[in-house]
Amino acid sequence: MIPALTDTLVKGLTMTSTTLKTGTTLLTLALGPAIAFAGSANIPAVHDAMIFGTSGGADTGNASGKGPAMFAGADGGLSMKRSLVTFDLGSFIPAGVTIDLVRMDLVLGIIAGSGMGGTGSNLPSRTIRVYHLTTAWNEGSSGSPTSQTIGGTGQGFTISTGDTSWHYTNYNGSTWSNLGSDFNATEIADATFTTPFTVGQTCSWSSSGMVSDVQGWVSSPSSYHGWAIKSDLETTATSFLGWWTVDGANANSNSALQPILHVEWH
Amino acid sequence: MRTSILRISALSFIFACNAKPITEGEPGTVRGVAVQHNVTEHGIVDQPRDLSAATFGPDGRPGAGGADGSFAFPAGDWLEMKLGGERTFLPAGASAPDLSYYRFGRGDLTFPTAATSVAFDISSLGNWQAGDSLQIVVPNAGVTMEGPETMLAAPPTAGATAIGGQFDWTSNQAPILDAARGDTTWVAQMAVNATDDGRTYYRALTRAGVARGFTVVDGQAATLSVALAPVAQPRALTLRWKGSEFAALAAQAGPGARPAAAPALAIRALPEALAQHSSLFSRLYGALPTLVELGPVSGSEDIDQTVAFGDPFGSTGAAWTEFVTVVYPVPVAVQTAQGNASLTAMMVAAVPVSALVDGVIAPPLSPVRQPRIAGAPLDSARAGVGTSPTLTWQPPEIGTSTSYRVAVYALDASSLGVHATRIATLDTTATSLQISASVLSPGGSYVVAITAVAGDGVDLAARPFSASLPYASADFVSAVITP
Repeated sequence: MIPALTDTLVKGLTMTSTTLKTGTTLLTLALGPAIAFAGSANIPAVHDAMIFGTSGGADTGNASGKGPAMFAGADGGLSMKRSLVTFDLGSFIPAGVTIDLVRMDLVLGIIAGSGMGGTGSNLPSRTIRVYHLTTAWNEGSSGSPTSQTIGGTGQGFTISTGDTSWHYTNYNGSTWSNLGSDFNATEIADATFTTPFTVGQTCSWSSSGMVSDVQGWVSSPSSYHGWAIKSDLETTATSFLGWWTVDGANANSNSALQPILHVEWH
Repeated sequence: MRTSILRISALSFIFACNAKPITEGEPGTVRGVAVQHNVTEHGIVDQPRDLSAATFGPDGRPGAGGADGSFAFPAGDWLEMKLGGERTFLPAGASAPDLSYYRFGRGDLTFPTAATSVAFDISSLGNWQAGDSLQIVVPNAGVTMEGPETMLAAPPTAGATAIGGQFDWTSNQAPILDAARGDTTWVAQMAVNATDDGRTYYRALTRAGVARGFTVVDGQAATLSVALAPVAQPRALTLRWKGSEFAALAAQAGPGARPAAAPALAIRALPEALAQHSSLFSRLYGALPTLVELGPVSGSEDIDQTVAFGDPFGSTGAAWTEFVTVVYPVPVAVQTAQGNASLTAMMVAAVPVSALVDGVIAPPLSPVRQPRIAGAPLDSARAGVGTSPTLTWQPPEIGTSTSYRVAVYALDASSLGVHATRIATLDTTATSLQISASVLSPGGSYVVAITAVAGDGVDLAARPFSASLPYASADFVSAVITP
């Protein structure tokens, strides 16, 4: 069984109970040195964005820092979409713990390939891989105010100062070394989703590679740049899957839509 | 204008005489003939179900399937067949199972193989708002294309009353359409509205039109030209969504199961004949024309929303039925030593609008109770269950199930994750079954999902591809089992 979604962190004498954003409870005792016990948390994304490449691999010039969704795959015109995400690890995971399990949950909001009815039957199996980003990036504000609906946002928005894009990590300043973001070539997790897809379905990734990444980031927060989410089918037309972002969740007043990282540790 | 459904026989005399599955007296063999009933705008057209690519019987005891719909099972404890990549087991009964099914649209569709550019010339839209969407519906071909405007290089602009642009029909896996063969292509505008509480939105089909003569020829450019007109909205329905009641059942869907983040809730439409028989449940009723769809409603909270709607599609052909569909996806994180294997337990309901009581949308069926394997509860990992264990369960607390479907998933763990692949399904009307000895392998790790199914006359063990409305199902997903 999955442990109760409760963090337990004993630090000292005074016990307080604070309900955090995702309902995680943090018990704090102000007594002596920090001693960390087994715990778990559902950690919300702190930054999420979508970036857009042309079929030829160039930057489309658009961005989606505050869009309601983030896609992985290609649209009908073969424009490529990738997603970037970081989670609020520092606020939830105590220092010095050993990470046991990591699972990223994204809620499906849109499925490309509705030619025969919206269940994505044109490409009944879609593998989405997660990669370790190696360069810092900025979420930006394109797409603000965020739409409640995803339709029509899949080409992104006119890029604005501070956005990340296919080319820029922070428009109009620093850039990726590689178009489409900088990530380690070897993925750290993958998952294959099959029809019938349904909006509202939770897509999850969980692997030992993700455990290693989070462990490393807890030990060395400055190296934390998050993950890139990329489809095997990004050169295949009408292949994308799209998931709600934090901004999309907020726009619909439904925190259950936001990207969540479930972490367990001891 | 509505016309009655005509049944058109396109079959030979011999086939027509054998349209019902039969069991012949030959010892050790169960024989039958399967029919594909194509529900078109112009009647139901029957044809043999092509089973030539299917296999029947376990390895070493092969049966046969034919292009003429004939099949022959070697008799055994289970009747085993493989229609795709997955093995299906039906109980060996007194007669052959009915492998026939009803299909939405004609049965002779072909698909373009070359790039086939379709240009939009859609006019007389209502002022386009962010969040609006188009829908292309071709009932004679069974096609529903949701959001085709998302395939355009640039989305429609706010306030637009016309949409141009083009996209490749081929890349969307849409079929060849032929007006000369009776294909009537509808284009509809789904207009977005905020829900009364302002928290989310819904879309309603408010304008539609027929693209007269629209035909797609493989490799040739075509233009989808249509002027939309308002669709009468003569019906109003207050949807009383009981998310809290669905959420209360989530824990019954498996160990660690959580309420759905955003269940899918819609009013859809389909030809009346498909309300009586269809295999659309296997696609979660997601491939049908939509009259109203709600945005991401809460999976845990209740909401009341009054919607007005109209159904233009029945105006040119057979009678249609409007029905509410709910797909409530419950994430179940199956814990393994290598990480979580994520499966989704679905609670599904498809209820004709006319059968809704006061608009209340509450769970019509809950998952099975007390699921066990070899006598041990399935909500904890179980090792040493053997390669042919017996599963038992109790009927759901809510609703009356008429069938059960057990799916077996094989788990494959690597450093990149734990992947679950469905390898077999077994249908029964009983509350227990013994998994066929050839499904589980020593050393493997598996998960089983037990689906309770409810519907008038729905018997998946005898008719695995047919269910009527109202329909409901609820899954239970187990913890890991190892033989």
